[in-house]
Amino acid sequence: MNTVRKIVFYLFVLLYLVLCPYLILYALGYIYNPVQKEIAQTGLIYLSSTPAQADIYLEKSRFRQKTPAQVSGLTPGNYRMTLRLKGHKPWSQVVTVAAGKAVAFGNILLIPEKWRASRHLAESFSALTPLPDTKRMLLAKTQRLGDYFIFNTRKGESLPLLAPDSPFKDFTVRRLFTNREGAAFFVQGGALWKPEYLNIDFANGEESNVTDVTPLILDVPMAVEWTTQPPETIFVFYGKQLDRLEIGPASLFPKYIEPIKGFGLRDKWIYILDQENTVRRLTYDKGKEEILFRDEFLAGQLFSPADTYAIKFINADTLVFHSRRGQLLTNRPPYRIAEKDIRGVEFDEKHKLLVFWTGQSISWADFHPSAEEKSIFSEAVKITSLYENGRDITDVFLTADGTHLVFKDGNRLFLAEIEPQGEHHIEFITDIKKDSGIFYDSDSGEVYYINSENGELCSIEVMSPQRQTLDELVSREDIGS
Amino acid sequence: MEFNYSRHNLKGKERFLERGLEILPGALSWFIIIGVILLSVFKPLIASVLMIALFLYWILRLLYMNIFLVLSYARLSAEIDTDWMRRIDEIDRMKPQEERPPSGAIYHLVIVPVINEMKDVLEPGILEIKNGKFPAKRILVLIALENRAQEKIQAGVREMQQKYQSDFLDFLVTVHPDDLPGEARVKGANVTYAARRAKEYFDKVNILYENIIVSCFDADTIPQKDYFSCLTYHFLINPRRTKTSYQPIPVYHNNIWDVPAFARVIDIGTSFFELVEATNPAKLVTFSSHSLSFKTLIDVGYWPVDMISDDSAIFWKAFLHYDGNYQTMPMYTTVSMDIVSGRTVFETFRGIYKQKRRWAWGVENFPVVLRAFLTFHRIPLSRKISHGFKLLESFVSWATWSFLLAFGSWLPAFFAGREFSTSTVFYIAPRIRDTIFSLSSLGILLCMLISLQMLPPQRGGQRFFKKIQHAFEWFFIPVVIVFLSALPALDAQTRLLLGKNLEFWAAGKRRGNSGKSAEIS
Repeated sequence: MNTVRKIVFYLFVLLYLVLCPYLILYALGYIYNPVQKEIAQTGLIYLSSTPAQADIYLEKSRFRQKTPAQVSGLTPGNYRMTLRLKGHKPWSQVVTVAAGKAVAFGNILLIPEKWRASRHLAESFSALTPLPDTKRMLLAKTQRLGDYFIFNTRKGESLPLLAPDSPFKDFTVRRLFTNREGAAFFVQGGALWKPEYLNIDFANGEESNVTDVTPLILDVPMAVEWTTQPPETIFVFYGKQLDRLEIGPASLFPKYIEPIKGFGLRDKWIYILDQENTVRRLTYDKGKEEILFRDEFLAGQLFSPADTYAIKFINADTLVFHSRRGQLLTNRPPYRIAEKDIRGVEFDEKHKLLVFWTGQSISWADFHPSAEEKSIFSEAVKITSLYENGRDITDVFLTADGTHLVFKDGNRLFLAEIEPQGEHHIEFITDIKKDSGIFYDSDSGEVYYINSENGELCSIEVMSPQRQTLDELVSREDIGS
Repeated sequence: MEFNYSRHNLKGKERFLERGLEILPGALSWFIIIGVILLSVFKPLIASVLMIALFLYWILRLLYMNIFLVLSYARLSAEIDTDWMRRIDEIDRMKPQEERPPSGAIYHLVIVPVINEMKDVLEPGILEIKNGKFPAKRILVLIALENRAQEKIQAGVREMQQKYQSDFLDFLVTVHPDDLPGEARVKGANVTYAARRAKEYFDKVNILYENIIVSCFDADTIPQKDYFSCLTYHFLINPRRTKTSYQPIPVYHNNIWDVPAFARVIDIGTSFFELVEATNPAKLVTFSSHSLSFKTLIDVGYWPVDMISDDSAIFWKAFLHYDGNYQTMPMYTTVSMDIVSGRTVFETFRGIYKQKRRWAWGVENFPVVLRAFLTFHRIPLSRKISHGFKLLESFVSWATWSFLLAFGSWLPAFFAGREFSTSTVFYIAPRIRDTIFSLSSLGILLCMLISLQMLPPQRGGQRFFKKIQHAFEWFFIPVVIVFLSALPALDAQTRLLLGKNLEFWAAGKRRGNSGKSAEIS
């Protein structure tokens, strides 16, 4: 037995000494090229699609595996990859493979040849306004507040916004201010020469609670933000001053903070851009204050003296300043993301992606470029154009997994795929009712819209729910509308 | 050469060296675990490559062990029906050798330490010894009671003494006083005390120590019927009979069907480990129930009285005493013991955890042995290196491998930044890992098949379905070995690293049908 043991032992040692370097080199992409009789480092392409089991074509050859699959052993160069699945449009992309590197298309959405729409309500509506980060949207038949409805996507039912005996039924709606977390919204309306304001919240569950806050509003607001704690505190920005309102006791703290030219809320802090271009933050009660940025020279270069800014957050350390005139700045080099015309921004905290759009184009800023994209003079933010042929881009939604956008260009609804490289796929979905908004439910992957033909509320599932990651943090702000 | 085989009461340089060596196994284990985590966080590419190398090593080692598991099991199966008494007769008929005693002169001393075990746990083992193939009249049974054992335990032992005294050479009971100077509350102190009393007995009846084989059993040990005849045979044919320990294959069949699945598979795994170890006698160390020459026991100074791992320590004591000229001979016969169990699943889990931790406390031998190796110059260096390395490697791998397998495969991907996630390694490493794990399922399948063969018949009906159920229990192994093997080992090594002691804890043993259970201390 001892001899047997020794023989077996040394055999296994030999096996390990042979297999180990082979496996490691294989994992690093090295293969033996019998044609050139040399060891070459290869790359790979990873493809995963929804639905899965699509046929993979490398140039014209069909790969033996279906998605999800890795196509490995590829010598560096360009390859055209095509996916085909019955009932779906082919997906094709030219991919550049580098030695030792993998290009992942982990979330290819195969577009059905025909989108299937679901009808939710048989009534006819003229406008749709999403309440961000909630399952609710506002549907309007007319401008009269009494003709507004709340639709809950989870329950699939709509309820009148106002109680039957509400005194505000004839209130004419001119403008809506919605909140990042959708707990409440402002309605500006009434006579043009004497605007009135209502605060509507859902503190009572599905029943709306309407409060006339006109006496608390001193001028036409530029922006309104609600705090999450306490829920009834509202900050109203007038361009140079920030007022604080308490709905419960109907209190007003005029000029709560001034003079300022930009603000934003995050956690329990108010972030302020003051007139000297200093960025500060204060607690809601102004008990604590911290200066975050003070650089006269740089700030003077960046911030326009006559503009006002909304401050948004990619994460706790990365701020974005979106001005009323469409300028987009960040606190990360190169600081300037766009100079003008930016209508809106949407950001994905998990993937550190910022999507921004003008009326004609959509771009995205990557705040976490990979190491090989960095050089000595490289920037911390990489900006890529996604779509440049728009007419009137308004609503843009980022899907929960950060790989697709749903956006409205004019009266047309599109789906865009954000590719790691190569051209981005843009797919037309459907026409929607003129000047109505869209709502994207990240949990169900459905986009809700008003049918252009009959005004009915419909939806199309553009992403299957399994693709969604529930812990994604997606925030949306559309100041331009 | 005399060496104080103890980790206590050391002074000066010895103490310093002992502490340093006590720290080494735990430090190495933690270094490996934390190192893999840190590497996964900061250098996931390197971590991934390292894991490929480790997984490949692991699967080859697993396959290697499986080969010897099969060979060992085949030998166990082949020898199960051996008529050892006939073989002993054949030896007696052979030309007498000067140093080989006739079989009729061989006596057995069986020491059974008792502290918490009721009569229903002890008696089956006594009965098997009595009804075994070796003449019971040449077996001295010695129950080593602890003074602090409860009255009903002591009463039960006395009852058995009365009942079985006439069946054996004698049936002695010793009561080990508490807190003798120099002793810890360990089993080794109790059985050493008993062995000294046995020596006095043998002196009175004039039986030569060289002709006595002592077996130290646990209270729940039930030897095979042929255990003592097999042992006698191996003793007689071994020219180095007094420089050898004799190690049977431990199985845990006494209550195997009465315990939860996780308990079953973990202890079957122990049997398999011993089966594999048995194929390498040059490095085999005694474990649990074992036997050796009584003369050897006396010469080396009995079992340690201040160490928990007396079963392995006695081997090392003898190894050092004879300058490395000592080894363990595997015997392909089994001794069956209980699987630790409690009244509830949680109690069973806790009991097994503590037992495994106690077994892993065998790492306390490492610093003592290494200190001795540094002192003993007559032991060949190659043997020192070989044994020292195996001692260290076995404990460190016991504590770390399960964690590496469970977590090391996905940690680099979990912490992967974009740089790593765009490398080929990020995608290919999981495929290699999956292939290796698929191959490992062959090993699990083999273990499954062998365990089905080894299982005792189950009481009651539904035998077939029980066996099928047991086969699928093996899929618990990846989870079970983390919590009931690696974690206790790491616990033990960490305690040693921190200079703590492990109190001796007598494992709770209960039998399903008896309705009575040993108390858990």
